[in-house]
Amino acid sequence: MIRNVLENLGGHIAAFPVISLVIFVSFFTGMLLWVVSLSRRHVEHMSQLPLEPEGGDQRHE
Amino acid sequence: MNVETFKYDNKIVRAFAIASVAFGIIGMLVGLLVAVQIYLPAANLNLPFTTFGRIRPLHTNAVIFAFVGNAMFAGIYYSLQRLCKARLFSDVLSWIHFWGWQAIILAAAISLPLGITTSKEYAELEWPIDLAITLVWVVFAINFFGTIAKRRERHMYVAIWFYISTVITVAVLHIVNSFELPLSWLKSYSMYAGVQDALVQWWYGHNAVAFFLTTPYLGLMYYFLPKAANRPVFSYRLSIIHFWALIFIYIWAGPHHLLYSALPDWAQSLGMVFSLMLIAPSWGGMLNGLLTLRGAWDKVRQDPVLKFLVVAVTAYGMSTLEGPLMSIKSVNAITHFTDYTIAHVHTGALGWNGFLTFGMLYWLIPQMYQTKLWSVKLATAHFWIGLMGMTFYVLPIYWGGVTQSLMWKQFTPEGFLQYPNFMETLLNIIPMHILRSIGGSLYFTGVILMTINLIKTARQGSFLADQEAQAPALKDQVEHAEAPHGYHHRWLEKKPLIFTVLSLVAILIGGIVEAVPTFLIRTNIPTIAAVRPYTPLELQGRDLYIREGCVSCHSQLVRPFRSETERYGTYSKAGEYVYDHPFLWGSKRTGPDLHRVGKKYPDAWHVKHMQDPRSTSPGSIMPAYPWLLTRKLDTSATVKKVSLMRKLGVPYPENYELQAMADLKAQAKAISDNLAQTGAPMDADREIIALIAYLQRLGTDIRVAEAGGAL
Repeated sequence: MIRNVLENLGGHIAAFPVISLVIFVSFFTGMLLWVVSLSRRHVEHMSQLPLEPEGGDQRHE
Repeated sequence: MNVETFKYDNKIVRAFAIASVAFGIIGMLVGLLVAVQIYLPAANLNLPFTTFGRIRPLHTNAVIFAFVGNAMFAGIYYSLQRLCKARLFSDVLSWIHFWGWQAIILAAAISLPLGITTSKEYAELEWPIDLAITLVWVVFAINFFGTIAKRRERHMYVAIWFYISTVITVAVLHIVNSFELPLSWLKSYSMYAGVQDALVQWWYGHNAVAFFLTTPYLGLMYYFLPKAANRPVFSYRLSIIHFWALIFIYIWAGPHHLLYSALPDWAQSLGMVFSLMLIAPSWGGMLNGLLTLRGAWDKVRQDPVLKFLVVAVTAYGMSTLEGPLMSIKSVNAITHFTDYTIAHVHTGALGWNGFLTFGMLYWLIPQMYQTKLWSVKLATAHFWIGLMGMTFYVLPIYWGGVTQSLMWKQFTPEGFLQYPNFMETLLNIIPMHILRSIGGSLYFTGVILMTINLIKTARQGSFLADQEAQAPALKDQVEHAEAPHGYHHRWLEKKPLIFTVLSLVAILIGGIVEAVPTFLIRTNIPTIAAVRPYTPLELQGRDLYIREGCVSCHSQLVRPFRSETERYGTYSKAGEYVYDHPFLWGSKRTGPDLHRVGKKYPDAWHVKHMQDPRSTSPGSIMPAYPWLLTRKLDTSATVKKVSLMRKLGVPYPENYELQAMADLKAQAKAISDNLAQTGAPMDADREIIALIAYLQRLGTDIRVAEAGGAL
């Protein structure tokens, strides 16, 4: 059934590459905006995560 | 604040680590054996079970799924617990995961030498094992996400993101590529045919490299490199871009394995462009790793762990630059089907996966045994021997691959092929193959040194099975008031479910964009009227071709180059493969292409060639297949095969099942009679008869079409 539905899309297949391009560009724009908007303090906290002592969590003690 | 005390499970980490080393040794030994067989065919011990075509997949499966797979699980389970500040979700699931995975490896180690294979690269295992893989992967996923759910650290570090993408994408890839219709417990046929099968297979193959060999190891890099260097990753922002860009772009690049093939041209171009784009995130990741060591390079001189990690990250950068370059069509025209590809994957496998595993193990084992490494000197020796081994492995066959390819393409001034005999191009690079196996032996020696070192380390220390740790429960933690507008910045790292769904969407987009048009627009696969389904005997012969792993060394795809059409015949068209379940294009020409081999040689030639390849082709490195001449063909499933093929869409006439056996016998008798007349008498019920029927059919339909003007 899915096959039939999609085959009926056949008439609009020309839109396929355009849709793909739009998805592609918006994906990267969104990601870059998100990364740029991260706060410095949060980034520091995240990058310290692997370095916390294994025995316990000193931040909370 | 209510601080909870809990214990990290080191036992499961140790179990996976041991399994990784043990299967690494076995997998590399098998690799050495296949490498030697390239120049010494007798090294197959004259047994079907140890012949190249059957144990080459054993080697690849062992190093990918057993060596790297087990190391990946060890590293993930170690780092996940620490990053989540929680013990693994369930000890029972951990051990089901461990033993289930080892059972799958065992099943592979038994079935592949027996010739039980689907022949699809890195997905050779038959359907019951495929099902078992799915079940064990689900167990892993429950254990993995369960651990994340009970974490005591609100935010998920980037390593966990890479693990999440691994868990979900491998599941998707495995399921989609394993659509097959079972004939019996040990045999199934791909639901896809020809070009579509090729597209799905290399979408899988390419992304198995991405999501089994790359993303989990990037997660390990982002955890163990800062750990070993004792400093945070160079740029956490860059690691976020690395992650999203990599998982999004990687999926689109699969068709670069099928350049100049019968795949539609737009799909090939898409694969090439996206491969080139991949350089950006890959190099961002490599630089992020290397720059983490800024100001700490003095440590690299003393610490073997960092030495291994630095080379691993560099090898990641090198092979992810090389891969995109090989995806440029004009470069691919030279490198494809040659040893160059083998060198490329070994830069990744030996350098990136191997060295990262070694670095991780040298760090993990002393840590879990609460001691120091037994011998830093021995580890350093391992490093240098391994590095030399890798260099001696890849350089000769980079050279050999390009040399052979240029010889294939060389024309005389008069316009004839300069090396029309394939054998000339092959024998010319045999010294390179010998050097390659010496390189492999050096690398293997290093692994033995490591094994000794790790065992000695374990003996001098005492194993900490359950490592105690403390952290407050998540609900008791107060949000840091880090920024007035901080909420939307971090929501993604706090919501594993949304995160997982988004990753899934990111990886599905590329696959859908490629697959939908290929599957749904019929004009993408032009049909050729003269192409007919295989006869029952040819179907049986094709299964023998699959069983013996002929596809490991012989392609069935003539590319549209003059050098290939001169050598093999007219180039391959998509419409010629419509009844091929599975496709058998192959990825390497250790021997010549076979797509136009039909009717090229008399039947008797094939008998002699299979009995002793050197009698017909002096200097040939093909192993002999004497068992094909003595074994009786098992025809018990013939009728069932015809029915199953019809279910898959092959247009056999109605009730052809009633006729199939008689047709099979008649065709076998004709070949047998012909052999008797040409001085190579052979009973009609032998396996070789079916194989000859198949080989003589290959690529001949189109000749009929051309003669009849049907094209």
